[in-house]
Amino acid sequence: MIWLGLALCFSGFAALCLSMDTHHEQVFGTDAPDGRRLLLRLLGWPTLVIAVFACANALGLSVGIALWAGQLSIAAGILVLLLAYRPRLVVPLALTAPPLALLPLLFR
Amino acid sequence: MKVRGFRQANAWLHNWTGLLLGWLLYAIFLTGTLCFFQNEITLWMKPEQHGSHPDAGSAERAWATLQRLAPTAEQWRIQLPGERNTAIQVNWNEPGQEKRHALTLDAASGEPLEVRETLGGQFFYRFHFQLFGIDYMWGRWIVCIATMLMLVAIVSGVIVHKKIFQEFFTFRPGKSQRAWLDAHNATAVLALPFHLMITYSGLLLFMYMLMPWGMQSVYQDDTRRFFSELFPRDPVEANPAPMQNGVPLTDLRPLLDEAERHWPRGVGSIEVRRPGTELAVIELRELGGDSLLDRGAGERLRFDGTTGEPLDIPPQADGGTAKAVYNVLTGLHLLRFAGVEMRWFFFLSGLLGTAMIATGLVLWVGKRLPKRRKSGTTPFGHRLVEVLNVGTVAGLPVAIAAYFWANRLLPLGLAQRIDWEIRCLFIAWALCLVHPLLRSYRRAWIEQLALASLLYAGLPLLNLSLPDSHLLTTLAHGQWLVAGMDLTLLALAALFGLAAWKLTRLPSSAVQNPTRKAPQEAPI
Repeated sequence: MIWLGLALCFSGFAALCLSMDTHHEQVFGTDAPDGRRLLLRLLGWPTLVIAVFACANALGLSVGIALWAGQLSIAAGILVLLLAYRPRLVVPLALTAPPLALLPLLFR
Repeated sequence: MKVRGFRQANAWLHNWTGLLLGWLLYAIFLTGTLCFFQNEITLWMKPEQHGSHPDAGSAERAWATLQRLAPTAEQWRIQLPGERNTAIQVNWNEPGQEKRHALTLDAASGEPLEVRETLGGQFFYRFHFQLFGIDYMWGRWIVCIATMLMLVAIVSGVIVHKKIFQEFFTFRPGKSQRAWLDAHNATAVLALPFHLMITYSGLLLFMYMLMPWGMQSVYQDDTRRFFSELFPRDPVEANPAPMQNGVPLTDLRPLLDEAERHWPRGVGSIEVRRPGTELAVIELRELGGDSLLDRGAGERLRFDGTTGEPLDIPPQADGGTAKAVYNVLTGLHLLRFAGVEMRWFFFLSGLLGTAMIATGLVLWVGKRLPKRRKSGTTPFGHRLVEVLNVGTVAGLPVAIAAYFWANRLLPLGLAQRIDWEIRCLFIAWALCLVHPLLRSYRRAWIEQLALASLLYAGLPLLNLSLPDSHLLTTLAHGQWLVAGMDLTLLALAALFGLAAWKLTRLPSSAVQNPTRKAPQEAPI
């Protein structure tokens, strides 16, 4: 659950950051079309919120929120470094991270 | 007098609070970050404990050892091995003596271990809130004021940062000043919730020192009574302890089984009052509770020491909402409750904070280089900032490495061994502060970073000379507590090495005299 929280933070931030023209260009080479920009925002914010529940589920509400705040920082930090050095990895990682984090939960 | 705009005023405030306290805050933040792994560092610095492998029978072996060594004690405490320690810590006091005897026991044999004297991670813990070498109250006041000014610097920094949302994810690596500003902004903004939480809760921990008036007006000068009411302990029974009459204690195993039925995490510690009498009481405490509200103290179970019958526990006084809030915030700062993943998240956030301060300090010099170059002179103040930057940002990690090396190399029987370890740290740091005086800014950076890299990489290698501590055995035994520290040291060595190498590759113009004007920048 802890890792799911981190993965969701990463994916949520990735969506939000791709909804910004500068970063969309870094990854795709063009500005984001209006429709896609809106879609990415609509995906990004709820994903960040869902991450709180993953953390709270794992550790209870009080510690969960603290953990979530830490995970937001670290997810955004990873994203910033990827954008600077390996922008092509952002989309594949954002799509695969949450399912990968769910995998261990299936095999318990 | 020139009237400044709101943003410029904040920029001025941010520059000068950041600069004047930057070096101190860097030291506080770095040592504080290490404290998230305080116990792990202490364990790593006591290699004699690395061969101690706990199993299900460890508690009973400690029990037997105490019955042999301290049958007449008034009270025993047994700290069992947990997620963060491999050995058993026991202590007891003999009747009529204030001083407690303490021993470390091997979890596999129950025999006492000869552990080298060291303060371990505790040194960083004490240093980060009361510094060292000065009266501790002075140290606390200094740290306190620095923390308040850190809050000021954070808030003014947010105001100064024009494009906090547009540039949320922005980092443009390269040679220019821009990259440093991006890095400073990114480390600050990304970990902003963490920074605010850690500085604010840090201040709360000092609350009774900063604002004692409420406490003093109600309790006059009896602050001890205030704290005992706020954090109550169980009343000590007034009736005098009966004579030791060798009444045997009950068997521990059934009590442990009972406790483990209640607590999935298991038992953390055992306390026995008046062993060897018919009034003996055994109290078991849960291993690290996870509620922030009680600062992770965990639940307790109490048994009659001779019959093993369960006893009632006096109810804990409920402190109300204000105390709960205090406990939650300070608990977050101290990270008492946290599991290992959580520790890593906070550790990385702490490193981000340390990086924020370091990049800010480097920026201060960089921003003023073009002007210096134009005028062709280096003001004394700027040179001083350069020297302090290298000597602190790179010098403190070197000094910490020296502390670890001293822990391994100083003779075991040395008198005042603990003090000597700490002296080594400060001698190394002093040398690191002198060294940049003799070298150019850039050479000093490269040399100290390279030295840090060598020192950190050498520590895991040095461990090869110890039987139970090197990576080959710790990884084979799955002893991640010790192996994790070695691996972290190697990672740090790689990081410092990379930084040094990058600097050598950088054309010297980018460091010494930037000719290219950076694009439009926020006023930092």
